[in-house]
Amino acid sequence: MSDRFKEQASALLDNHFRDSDVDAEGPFNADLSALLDDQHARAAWSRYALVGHILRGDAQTNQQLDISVAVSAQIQQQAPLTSATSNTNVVQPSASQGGAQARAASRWLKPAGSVAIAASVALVAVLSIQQPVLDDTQPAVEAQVTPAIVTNPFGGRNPVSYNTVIDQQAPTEAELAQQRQLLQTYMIDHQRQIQLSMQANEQVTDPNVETVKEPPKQND
Amino acid sequence: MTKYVAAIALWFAAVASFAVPAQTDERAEIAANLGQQWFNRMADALRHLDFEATLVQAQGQRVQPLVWFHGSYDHDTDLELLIYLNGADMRVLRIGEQSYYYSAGGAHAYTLQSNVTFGLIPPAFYNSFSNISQHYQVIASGGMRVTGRNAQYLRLISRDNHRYHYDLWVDRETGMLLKMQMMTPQGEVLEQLQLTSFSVTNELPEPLIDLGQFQQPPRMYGNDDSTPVKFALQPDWLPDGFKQRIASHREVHDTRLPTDYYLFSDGLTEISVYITESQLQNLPSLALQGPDSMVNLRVNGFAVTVVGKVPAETLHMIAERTALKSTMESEE
Repeated sequence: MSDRFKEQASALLDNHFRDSDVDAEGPFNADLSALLDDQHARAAWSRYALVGHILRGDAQTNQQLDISVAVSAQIQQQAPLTSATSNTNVVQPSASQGGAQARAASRWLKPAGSVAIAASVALVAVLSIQQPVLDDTQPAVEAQVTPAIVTNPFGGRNPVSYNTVIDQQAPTEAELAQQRQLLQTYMIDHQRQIQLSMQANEQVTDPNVETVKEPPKQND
Repeated sequence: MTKYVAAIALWFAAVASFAVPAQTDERAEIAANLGQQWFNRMADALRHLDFEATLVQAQGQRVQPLVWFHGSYDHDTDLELLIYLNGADMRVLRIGEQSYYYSAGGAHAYTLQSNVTFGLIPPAFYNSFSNISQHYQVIASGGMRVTGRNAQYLRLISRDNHRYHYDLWVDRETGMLLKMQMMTPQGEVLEQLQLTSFSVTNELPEPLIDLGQFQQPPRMYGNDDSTPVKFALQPDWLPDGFKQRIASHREVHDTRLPTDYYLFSDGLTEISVYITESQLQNLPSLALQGPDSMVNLRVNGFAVTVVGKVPAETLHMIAERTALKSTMESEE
């Protein structure tokens, strides 16, 4: 019995199920059903299939060999769910929804659309503005003691491309990296000096630079 | 309300002064006058307008979206907030004459004593055109629709070709800067700024209200600028209008490279000149042109590095024309 099933499973795999069948008078479907219902036969088919894959060299490691169990388990799990909730959860396409979409689309054509975008961006800004202020856990005293020279000014991180004509012998990778870094350093230093000079300029024009203004508090 | 009256008055003033010289002077003159008025309106808007805007800043392949808020508090102190939306969280908050620069984590935060915000538009745009009128001219020519608004087109060009040019589009209703292009004298666009949304709030924008508790980062101090320059070589030529702001001997940021440093400015653009002993600096002769250009040359046994927002050709001329002090003194 078991041997016959194995034989049939092998035949099924090779697509010769019907012609290898010895009991030709038995109905084809019944035989196939019997074969598919038999757990051992299915396991045998999986093994044969795997052997075939390995022989052909297209087997993958970690491949889920038999997904039929997982699939049937999933179907059993979902079957009651869908039947119970099909009336409530499944979205029914309706004319009213199409109308809403059309209205939404037409809204984009009006100037109001851009205001909405701006508003959403502004909202993000409002949500995030508090962060650097509050999250800054550095103690203020220490921050003042630390020399501010280590700061990297804005705008100083422009990527420096190296599309240059070099009229020396080709430098090594390390030398190139070093040179690129030095270029960056000059860029950063330049940005820093501009900012410092903006500050120096203020000091020249405005003698009251030492007065640190309190941040304004708006009370509505 | 008063702002509207002022804006309307300004508008009429602009129209009136347009009408009067129109009968006598040449068209170019009118365009220049009109350009200056528009430029000053823009400077006024950047100082006094309450607005919120979203914008995109593009430099070559890099695109950076930002949000920009501005408002004035008590008609006296103006507040400005810039938030960079891509990459590291960077923001700039300016309250009157203090500007605070924060970046992600607060590690590189610093404070500057400055009444303009650095990094977005040239600080000169916040001030009257008369400050830069000697070396630049601004010409009003035509209009265009920008950011969904009726905009006036301005060309800010240098009187020589040693500097970058700017194309500006300002809102005809409010004077606000809506779009900016920085380009080489040959017309290659190097940097762009484009507002994608803009609205006047007529009151302090919400993010600027109640800034009550925030930490002021440490003030950025420069190196001691009192050490005089040491080397025999020094810059001898710069385009007209560039005035020396700094001349000192120090080490370049984060390096131990002893350098004579010079900073020059024409009111809109800055140029840095670094002079180092040749054997200590291993950069080849090179020229990079971009939003910030850079040229490195060897002159008389010194490495001369020049950096600035000007064409590389200009920087090359500056580097080339550095001269030994002794010869300069003998000329005097």
